[in-house]
Amino acid sequence: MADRKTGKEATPNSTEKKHVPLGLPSPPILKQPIGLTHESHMLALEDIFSDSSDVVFRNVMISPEVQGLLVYIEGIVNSADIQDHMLRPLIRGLIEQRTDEPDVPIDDTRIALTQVKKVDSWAAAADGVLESSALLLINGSRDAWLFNVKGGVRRGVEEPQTESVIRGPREGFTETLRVNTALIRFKLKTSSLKMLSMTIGTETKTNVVLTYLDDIADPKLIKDVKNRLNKIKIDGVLETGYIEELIEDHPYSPFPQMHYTERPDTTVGNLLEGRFAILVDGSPFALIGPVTMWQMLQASEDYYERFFISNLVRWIRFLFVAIALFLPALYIAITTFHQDMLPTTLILSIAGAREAIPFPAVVEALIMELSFEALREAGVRLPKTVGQAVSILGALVIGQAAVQAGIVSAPMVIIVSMTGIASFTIPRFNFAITVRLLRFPIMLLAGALGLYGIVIGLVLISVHLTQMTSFGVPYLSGLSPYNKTDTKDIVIRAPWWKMIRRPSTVHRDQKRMNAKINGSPEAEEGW
Amino acid sequence: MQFMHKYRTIVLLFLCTLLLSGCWDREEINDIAFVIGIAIDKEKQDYRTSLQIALPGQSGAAGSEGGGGGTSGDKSWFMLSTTAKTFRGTSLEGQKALSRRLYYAHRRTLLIGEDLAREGVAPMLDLLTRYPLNRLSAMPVVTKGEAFKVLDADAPIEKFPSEMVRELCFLNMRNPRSLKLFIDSILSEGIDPFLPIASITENVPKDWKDVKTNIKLDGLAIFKKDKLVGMIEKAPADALILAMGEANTPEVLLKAPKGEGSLFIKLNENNSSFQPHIRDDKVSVTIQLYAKGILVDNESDYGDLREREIVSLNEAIHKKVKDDIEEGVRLLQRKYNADILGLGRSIHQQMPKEWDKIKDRWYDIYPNMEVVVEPHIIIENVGITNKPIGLTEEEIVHD
Repeated sequence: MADRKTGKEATPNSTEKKHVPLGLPSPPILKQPIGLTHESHMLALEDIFSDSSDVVFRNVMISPEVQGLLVYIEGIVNSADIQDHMLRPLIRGLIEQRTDEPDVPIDDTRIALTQVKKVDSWAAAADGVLESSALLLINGSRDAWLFNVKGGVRRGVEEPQTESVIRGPREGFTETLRVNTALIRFKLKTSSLKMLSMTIGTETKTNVVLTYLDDIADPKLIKDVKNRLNKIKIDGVLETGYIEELIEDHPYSPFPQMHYTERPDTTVGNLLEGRFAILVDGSPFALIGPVTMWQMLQASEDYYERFFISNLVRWIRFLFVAIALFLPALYIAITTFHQDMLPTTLILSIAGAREAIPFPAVVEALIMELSFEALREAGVRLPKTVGQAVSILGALVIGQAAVQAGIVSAPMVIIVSMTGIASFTIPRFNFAITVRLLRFPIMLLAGALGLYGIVIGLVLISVHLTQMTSFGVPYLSGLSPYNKTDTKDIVIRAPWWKMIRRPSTVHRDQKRMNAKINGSPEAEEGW
Repeated sequence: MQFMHKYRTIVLLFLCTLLLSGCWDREEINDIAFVIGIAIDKEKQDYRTSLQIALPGQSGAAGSEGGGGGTSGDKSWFMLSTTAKTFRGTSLEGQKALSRRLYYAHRRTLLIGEDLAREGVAPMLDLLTRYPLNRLSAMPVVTKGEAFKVLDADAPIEKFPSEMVRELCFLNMRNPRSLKLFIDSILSEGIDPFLPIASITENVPKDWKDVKTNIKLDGLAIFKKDKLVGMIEKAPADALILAMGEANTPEVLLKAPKGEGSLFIKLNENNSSFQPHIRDDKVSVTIQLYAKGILVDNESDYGDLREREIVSLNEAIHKKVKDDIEEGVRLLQRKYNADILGLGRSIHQQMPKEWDKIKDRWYDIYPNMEVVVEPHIIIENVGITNKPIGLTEEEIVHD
């Protein structure tokens, strides 16, 4: 664990030490080269793809003498492509006229498909088939051809479900990696946009793309990320979450050190600020790093609306993060330790409401907060039609019946609802979860020690945050370590014509606009 | 692995503190008796303390169904009255008869019985101020007669009679006398303390049905050091508050300069300052009073439309205010020899050297000192009717 913190992994991996081979044992045929005859082809492929009903073997006669075998997996290829661009030209015998060399009966110039690859081992051939290519084997040839006919039904580009905006693009990433890279490319028409591709997962062979802007991102950072990605040895990657947990700086911190987004515009915004994004095939999320805590409180719309509105919204968020974290704890502390801190009339009405409650305030608060979390969880997991029933149950049972039965007090219900609303104002879901999680220890501290306990909790959190990093960038950077230009996008959202420089976490090309020509009221650098 | 050890140690230490502390000072809100007002009297040699304790379960808060440990009918408070040799003793006696802990942080009024006030309040002030939970912003008030009777009034308009006393204090003066101001003026040179007087009245004439007792705040209790020396009521008391510049938009009754009846003039934006003069060892203080007047009511047949008339109204209000204040000051000087206005303090502040010479003789100088009252009042507004509206032009008396 200590290794990950410093970002350098110790050379002998623990898995290697125990000599546990990674991945499933593969059939021996994969290690052999491709045979010569049609029969050997058939035998080998039936061995590799045994019990795989979705693999299609199609015999084609390329010429009266030459027997061909076309192999692909139904569903992940585009059948129309195979039919129009492979079967049709092959069967028409277009090749006949040029079979001077029987060994090389076709080449990529003759098939109207863009990606063609020649392979000569079964391992490579099988990988190609699994990655949505059509494999063409020819009797009498040790070479096989892989034609990329990627297809199959996948979700189209839709509005992002998790980050909706009022003003801003409506498109979101999909599960298809290349659609996602294209969505980024559409927005960044520069050759400095790099998309490093790698495959992670011995079984899933998931395509993972590390993307960044070459002339903006810190090269050391990119090298570090590449290293960390290359060190991953895992059987499968199904979501960006796998990668996130495997490459973050502080695996034991409750705070998220990368942020994920469904929005191409957010991704591009981050790339432009010198960060990198990791796209994983099959996941509609881009992982972005390094992050600071302030980013967790910024929504993409902050930058699309005029800065007055954005500032107001941002400050509301700051306030509500504090509420989400501390309100129940403050309520507990004040009602059980510091009854002198509230105005008389308020404390009397709270006292009146609590008169018949059998539990201490801390227990009452824990019950309510836990049931709220349970309700929220139930609402998320359940199908939408049942979900409504949950919210009715929650509102009636917890909101009203519990108060009328004298089990919880009405002020407590207000506190819990306020906290719930407050935690929904946090734009990054992973950060919101963290805040909700930390609420419970702080509530316990408040129940045990009052305001003193809350302060202890706050101090511990602050200490943790100040020493935390995300890919070597301090988590609170901007305020700690302090950087004057960075505060323009932390405490406030300065108007665009004031944010002349990129965040200081980027070490190259910090200037993002020319202040002199943009016609801003103060056409000068700095503020 | 060092990293893991560090975390484990921290978590362990944390758990230890939880075991050790055991939630000291934790007190659930329903184990507390909120004392919201207190009445202190002298009974022979003993103190009688009457605590007004809130019954939150009875106070009609939402969600309090099924709650309430009160036994006093539908009142939202109950009284707990005990006697003991010392003030603190009464509190301890009270706790013996109460299952919840007495909690004084929300005590916002102190009603001091007349008898106790005459004997001196200094001994009990210590208890009221020493403990941090006691509010120095609480309002002390002197009652006519026994204090607990005032605290036990029906006062139906507020939830608690003590709350009513407090609200009345805020209506009575701009900066009501809090415990802090009161103690400050006991201890300061050149000023004597005073407090408002609370008394019981009936809301309707006594022989009506459904009579409720109510609380009235009127007049000033004059202290010399910590001892009550007398009470000033009605017009002179109001005038004295006006002279202090503490009055909340007072209305002055004025006899019409001509004709029958009287008028009311409201003094807005009133303000005062004291200017001491010392010439040939003769000390005098000028009270400058600034105010803007509004004619709020004309129940006389005196016309108020013409400029000449407004000028004579202006003269009349000057005279009236001057007379009232002078009468009040005369009472203070001659009858009580107490300087609640702080005329001595004005000398102390503006002529510290002179004050050092006279401060030992101050109470000999004060009763015979010349006090000049200079009101500066401008009547700005006579309303939109400009004349008594119920009268015809012939009936109105003009200047």
